[in-house]
Amino acid sequence: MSTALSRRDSADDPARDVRQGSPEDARRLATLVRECGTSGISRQVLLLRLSQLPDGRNRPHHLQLATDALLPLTGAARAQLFHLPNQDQVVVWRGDTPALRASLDTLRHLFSDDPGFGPDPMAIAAVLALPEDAELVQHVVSESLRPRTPPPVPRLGGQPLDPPTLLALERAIAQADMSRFARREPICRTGPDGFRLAWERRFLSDGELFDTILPDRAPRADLWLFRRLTRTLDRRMLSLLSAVEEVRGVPPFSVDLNVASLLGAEFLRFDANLPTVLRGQVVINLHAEDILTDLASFCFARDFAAARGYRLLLHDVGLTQLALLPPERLGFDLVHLRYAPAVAAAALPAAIDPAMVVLGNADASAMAWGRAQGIALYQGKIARPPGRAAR
Amino acid sequence: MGPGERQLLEAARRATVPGWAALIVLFSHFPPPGPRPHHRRVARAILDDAAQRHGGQVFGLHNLDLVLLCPTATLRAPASTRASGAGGETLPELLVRLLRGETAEGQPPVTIWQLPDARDRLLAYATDRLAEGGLTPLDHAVARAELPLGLTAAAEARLLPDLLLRQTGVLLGAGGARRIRPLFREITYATAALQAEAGSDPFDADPFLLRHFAARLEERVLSALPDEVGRRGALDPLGGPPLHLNLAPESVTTGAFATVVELCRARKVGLGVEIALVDAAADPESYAAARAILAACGVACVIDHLSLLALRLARPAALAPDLVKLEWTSRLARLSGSEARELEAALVEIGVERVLLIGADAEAPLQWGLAHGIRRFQGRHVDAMLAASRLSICAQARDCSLRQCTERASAVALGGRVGCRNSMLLDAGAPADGAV
Repeated sequence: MSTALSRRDSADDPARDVRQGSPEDARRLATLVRECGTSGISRQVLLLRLSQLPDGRNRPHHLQLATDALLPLTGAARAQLFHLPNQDQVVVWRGDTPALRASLDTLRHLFSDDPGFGPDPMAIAAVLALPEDAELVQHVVSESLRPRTPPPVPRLGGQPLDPPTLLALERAIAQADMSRFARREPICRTGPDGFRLAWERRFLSDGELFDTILPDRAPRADLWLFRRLTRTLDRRMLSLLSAVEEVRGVPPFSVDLNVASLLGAEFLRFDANLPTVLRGQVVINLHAEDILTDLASFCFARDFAAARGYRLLLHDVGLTQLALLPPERLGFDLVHLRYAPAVAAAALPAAIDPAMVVLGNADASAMAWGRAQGIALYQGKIARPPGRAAR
Repeated sequence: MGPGERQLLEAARRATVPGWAALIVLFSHFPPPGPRPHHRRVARAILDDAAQRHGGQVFGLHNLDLVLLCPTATLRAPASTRASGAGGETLPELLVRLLRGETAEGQPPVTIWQLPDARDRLLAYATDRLAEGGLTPLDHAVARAELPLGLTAAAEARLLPDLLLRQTGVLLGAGGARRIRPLFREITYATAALQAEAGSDPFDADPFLLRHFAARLEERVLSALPDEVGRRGALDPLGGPPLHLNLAPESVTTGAFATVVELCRARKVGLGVEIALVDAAADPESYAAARAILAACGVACVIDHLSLLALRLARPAALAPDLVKLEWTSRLARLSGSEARELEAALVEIGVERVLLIGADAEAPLQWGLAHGIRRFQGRHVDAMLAASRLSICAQARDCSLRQCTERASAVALGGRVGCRNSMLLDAGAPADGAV
């Protein structure tokens, strides 16, 4: 998010990390530039092209020093700072200010200690005016958004699935012994005595499965064919869980399912065989893209599952998805929030009850953030109940 | 007829003892296309569970109805196994709650006949069912969508234009003499053509397949577009209102999209990108990048296929779109007071000037939209209005019918446009200041 410049924000930050840029900032800057163009509002612009720094001069402390060089612009009228995704930074402000000279001087000194090797300060920092230079600024924004490398493929060297391969894979999975890919992962609740097991997530390790039967493919690279594949995995998982020994004397658990699987014959068999002691103790994990694909079926499945005593969890979402899909409005009991640096930089939305959140990918920093938000449920390498290792 | 009908008739004959009832889930009364397989499967499981726990017998009939013959105590017992919340809900209440949104207005999904008072009625019902033909459906059978492998080849190769169609979004002026102004021409896949090519209808059972094939087609359109510039075909971005492409967010971050943007910028023609809500939600990082690129390029970002349900459950405003396409349903005109207030709040949050109503295939959606401040529309009725405005001024339209003009405008394949002698007007959508 763009921020009004503040010396205090940066100077008092003990971590002093250069903030990661974001597409959201790029979008906001593009909007501002366009508005200046349409309404004729004048603004000054300083482009700091940190993406142009040569190798060896773009280490974190270089970036931090360059960022600090922008601080004199703090006092400029209506100053706004934008962090672009390629680490370029842009300051926009109104009117003339002597702070501009101070910033440019700092940048010149910063990169003039090694003549011939360092970058040209004038190429790194450019002063422009809006609306006159709107096209150039928009070009910089566009450049910042271009992927530097091809889109990541989840597994190295793998090709995405295609329908014929998917068909073969579905047939192979239908016949394979899936019990060796069954895994359990604890979801823990924090308390005065440390972690206690809240429930276990029971799932099939698709990564190991694909490595075994289709090592040269990347099944997750095509989202929709992968989701189709997960329906086959759901059926096999439910088939496993329908065995008496799998549900006798076990702790509460969760299982990943698609909406269609929740309404399928295998789930109904599983439900009919569920021991009374586990009734009300099973959590169903659903994915955002799955429920949005057929919202009417989701609502039907949600009401049916609730009537049968299951709790529903919106699985593996980030803050953006939380804003788009308010879990309480959708009728979820729980939400699994994927911890990431972007989460750490924000607060849990006020509309989300911390009691319904499971913080995923939990490490020490996630724990610190989660505790500050009032979150008690965790999943990840740090969330292990005493005497229990992940299986 | 099947064993269910015969067993029900025999059970009805024996139903002379007070304190019993027949609960009928009226799937045969569901409006076309009827109940979805999971409705009946789940209802059957719930009835079986109630019969097992509290007593009773379930009959599955060929007309899709399900009948539970049971002691009346079964119908009064809590159907839910949940400890709280819906815990006190009875079996009929649960079934009504689950199925109420699926039935026609005013039509209950469930009926209960007290026995033996209604025994004659039950006998007549069972006799009628027995007299009818048809096979009893298998309640636990699950339709598995076969993979339409033939469609893969079609989507990858020669049939691209045949699988696409074009539709124009318009701005309607308010007031008596309605002005219609084309806003954009959308290129999208033709679901019917995809289903025909697939040889069956796998998409209802597996909507993921539709998303997959749609994404492949959209990528092909993007890569084909540069070659279409200046060729005066349906995919030519020149000579009409801005072209709208349906794309997944990731496609917007590719070089192929940048090429198309540069082409359009050089020719000073407008471009828009339509992103399905589900695609935006599935890959929020790519969506954020795509949204920023579109803003930087001055390309409109449209969130497509927002159902009434999605509008109620999601917050599309969080995606900061330039335009949201709301799907018309006749339910919109029959909302309860609280539902209508919810809808109004959602429209206000998005901004009604950013809402376009799709599926405007008749006058009713237009009337509803205009009454709610919506002036942007797309649909077959709009297509016909545009065709009428073209025909009213087209000098070459000697023997063209309204239907021909409408269909030619929506065709992407060259063959579909044959017969039009004024393709410039056809691609423009409507004459300047078209009035209808």
